[in-house]
Amino acid sequence: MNCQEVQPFVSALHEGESVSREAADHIRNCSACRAQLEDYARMGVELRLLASSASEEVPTRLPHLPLRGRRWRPTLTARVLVPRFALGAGVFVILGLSVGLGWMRAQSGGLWFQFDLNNPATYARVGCLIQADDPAQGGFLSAGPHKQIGIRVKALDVHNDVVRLMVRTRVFEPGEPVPGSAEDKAASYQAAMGSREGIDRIFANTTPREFDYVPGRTLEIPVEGGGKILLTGAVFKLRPSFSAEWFPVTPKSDEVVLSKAALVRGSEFLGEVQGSGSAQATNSAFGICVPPVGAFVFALKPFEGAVQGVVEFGEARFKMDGYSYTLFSATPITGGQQPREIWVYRGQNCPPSWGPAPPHHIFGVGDVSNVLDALRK
Amino acid sequence: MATVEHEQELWERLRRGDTEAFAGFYRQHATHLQGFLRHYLGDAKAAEDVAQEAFLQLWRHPNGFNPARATLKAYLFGIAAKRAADWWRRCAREERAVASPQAGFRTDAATLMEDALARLEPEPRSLLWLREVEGYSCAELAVMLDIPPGTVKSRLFAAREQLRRIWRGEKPQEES
Repeated sequence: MNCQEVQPFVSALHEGESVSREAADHIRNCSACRAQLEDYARMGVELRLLASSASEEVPTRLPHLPLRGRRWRPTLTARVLVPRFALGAGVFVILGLSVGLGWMRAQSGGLWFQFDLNNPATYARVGCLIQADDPAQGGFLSAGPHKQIGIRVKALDVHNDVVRLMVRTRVFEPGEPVPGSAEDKAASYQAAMGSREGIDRIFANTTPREFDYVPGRTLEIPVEGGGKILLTGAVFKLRPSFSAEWFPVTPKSDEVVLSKAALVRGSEFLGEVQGSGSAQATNSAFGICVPPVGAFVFALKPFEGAVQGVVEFGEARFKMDGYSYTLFSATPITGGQQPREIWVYRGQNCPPSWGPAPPHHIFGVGDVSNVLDALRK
Repeated sequence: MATVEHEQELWERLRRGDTEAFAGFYRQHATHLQGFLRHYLGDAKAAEDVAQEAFLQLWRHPNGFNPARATLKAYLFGIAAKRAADWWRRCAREERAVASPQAGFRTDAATLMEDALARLEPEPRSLLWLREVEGYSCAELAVMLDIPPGTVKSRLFAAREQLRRIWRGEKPQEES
């Protein structure tokens, strides 16, 4: 191959895709092609720097928000009787709204806190992204060999040099809970990913603790009832595009990683899969929920009901029910020699605890037995 | 994981006409969107107008969004990209002169990149911005721009090469 022929592969490589051995050999040995690859990387950095400098400017106005379906002209020109006290209250509300809008503009573009939660006992990790005034909270439930750990993290305040966190943790002890009991409900931990009510219920009786986290360091968070969770993170001015930084781009051969994934069936885009995670276990696996098609469990070794597919860096390809599927991930799905086998199981439905309208999301990472268990809950 | 939940909840609130939820969404994305449009259109005022139009369209027609296909933010950027393309078609001749890089002494890397970017055609410029700055994947861009993923990849390659040539050509000789 010559440089001209290899050029598209340089772009593909920059995109994180795998390229043919022949193209890879050429790029490895050709200084011009390597320079092209480096230029692409530098251009990306320069563009992001350009965006960072431009983002200082706060948008100057909010759009007007007329009520949907309302005909404004007759409403605005119609005469209505308004009691004086109501008129006074209306003016007060308008003043309050003005102050509120001013405050909102001043707060525009808050800092982002991206962090990785890691259970060192199981090697399971997830990435989370939150803001100080964001109602979303980073959460993590890790199913280990002896116990399950749950953690919920909220950012009270985000600065460049310190992030104030409020953390709730708890342990789910092993053993069969009595069906229908409070412990049983708590043990339905997958509800944490399905509904806010589920999370609230699980962490209802835990004590919130505050931590001052210095970005770049590792914070060891003791878990009520035993165990610990490691938190590492960084503060960003702009919303980071994905959490690849927090997952190995060169995973080990017995490790699986999924971040910023999307599933395609034939030429049909089935959806983006939210959430990121990694696992290193006896048979490392992850499960994703992609309604209305169903739920898929991917594992590195064969397991009952699974079909054989192929994984090659950020792509996993498999055939099922007469369709060809491809799962794309922003980072390599596993390590070792590529392409290699991957085993895929499809369930008709997402975990029942996720309710009738489940999101496109990871529902479990860990050993395949844990992930299949999560699929049934 | 809670972010997705938040996204679903946000969409439901927008559909119900929740202005507070909309204001939050605006606050979160307006700066990014205007940054993207400013580089797409080369005109700060037009960028502001198109951004407002995009937000208003989302507000007025939230059911145009399909959560199975993209995120709300991607949907918003898709609306904005289409409106910006319309704007460009209407105003290209007059605005192109404004958007052209200014001749003169350039001192830093940011200026070089800004000028190089301004010399790209609008479509490759917006595609590169959405990929490199906003971080959308090829699959997401395909949905957002309504073109096949393979076309996204080939256009990205062409855009990168165009930008690279301009950028390299403008770079001063480095001291050895």
